[in-house]
Amino acid sequence: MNKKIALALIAIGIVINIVGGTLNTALKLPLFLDSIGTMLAAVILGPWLGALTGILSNVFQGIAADPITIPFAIVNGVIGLVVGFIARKRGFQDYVSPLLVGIILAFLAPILGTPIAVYLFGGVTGGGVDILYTVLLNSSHEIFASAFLARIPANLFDKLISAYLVMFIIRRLPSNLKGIAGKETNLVV
Amino acid sequence: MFKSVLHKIKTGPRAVSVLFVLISLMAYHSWKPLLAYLLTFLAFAVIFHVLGQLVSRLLPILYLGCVIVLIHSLVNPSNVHYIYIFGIEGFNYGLITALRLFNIAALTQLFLLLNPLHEIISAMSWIHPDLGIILALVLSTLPVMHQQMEITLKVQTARGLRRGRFPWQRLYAYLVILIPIIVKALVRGQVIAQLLHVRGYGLHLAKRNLELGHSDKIAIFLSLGFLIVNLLLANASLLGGL
Repeated sequence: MNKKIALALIAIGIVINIVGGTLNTALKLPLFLDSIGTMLAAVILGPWLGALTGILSNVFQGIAADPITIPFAIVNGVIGLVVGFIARKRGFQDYVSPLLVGIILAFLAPILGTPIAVYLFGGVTGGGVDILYTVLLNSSHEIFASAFLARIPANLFDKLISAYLVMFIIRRLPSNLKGIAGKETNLVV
Repeated sequence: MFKSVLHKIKTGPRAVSVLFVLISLMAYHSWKPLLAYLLTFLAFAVIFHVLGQLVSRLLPILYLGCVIVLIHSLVNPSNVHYIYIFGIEGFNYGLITALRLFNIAALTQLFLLLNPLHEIISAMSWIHPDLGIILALVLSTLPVMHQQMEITLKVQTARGLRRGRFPWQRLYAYLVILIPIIVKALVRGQVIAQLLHVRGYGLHLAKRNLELGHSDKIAIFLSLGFLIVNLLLANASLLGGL
């Protein structure tokens, strides 16, 4: 895949992340849905360009609107890496790869995001997750563990939905645009 | 005087100076210096006539800060002494966290208000030309995609799409609106790639020269010195507290 298509797809991935996050907020969904573009770029372009898409999404959002999102760029970058490596190994057209991605990221994203959230926000998000966080903190008396556990359910649903959405999109793309996701796996479900 | 000094410093060195000041903020674990910094940033906002804009951007952080203080006052594990149901140790922890967050938000928003977006992107394109073109493409594509989102929302609503009370109904609405946007974005991406090729992007890359003026160097050294002094002061107060 040539460089110019890669540059354009990275930019499009960033835009999809931003629009997806905006739409999620507008519809008041209890999820994030702001890494669909990262996953799409990772699946088509590979893990490293996917990670770059994720990092630049947060950097751009930080520059344009809310600089507090910049530290979370590392989480978005790791999402790109995980999705890209799984797509490179297995392709991304079956039903198992998105499931693997969802389960891995449901734990990995909070592991990376919780220290940042605890340091910057005391573990608080300003959303519905705070209720769960408060209950867990009251019972466990551990700030990090409570913040981590409170984030797992939302991350699990969020990453599974995003991964399956990307899988369905990839299946319908023309073969010249599938990139590394065009690999057929042995187990096609 | 401040404005004339600021105009002599380029965006890149300003960003580096802001980064050093941000790191020095993180060294403090007491509310008094954090409050002093916040008041200093607000004073700078008054000097540069951006106080109103800064305050409006900080309002969501104010809400979040109140939630942080409230939750930690109620359930922070280090709560030992209480006033009614509010723990003093948790209140202190929440206050320090909220003030630190405020300071980070105030400083970064001040930087964004005093530096136009195109200058920031030009500074980033110095890091790598491809980085600048990616960010420029995002800037040009984003308003189009936002408009596309609004049109798709109206069209789907006219076709009978309802958001509903339950999360799964809203999730269905989300997917129905987002999927056409993604498809259009990918088509647009192909067009952008063709345009880049037609315009000969990447054939001739100009050599990048880093030219720092005296003001730029002074700004960077002063901010580095500020960081070192703050780290020493923060350590001294921590050891004094022990």
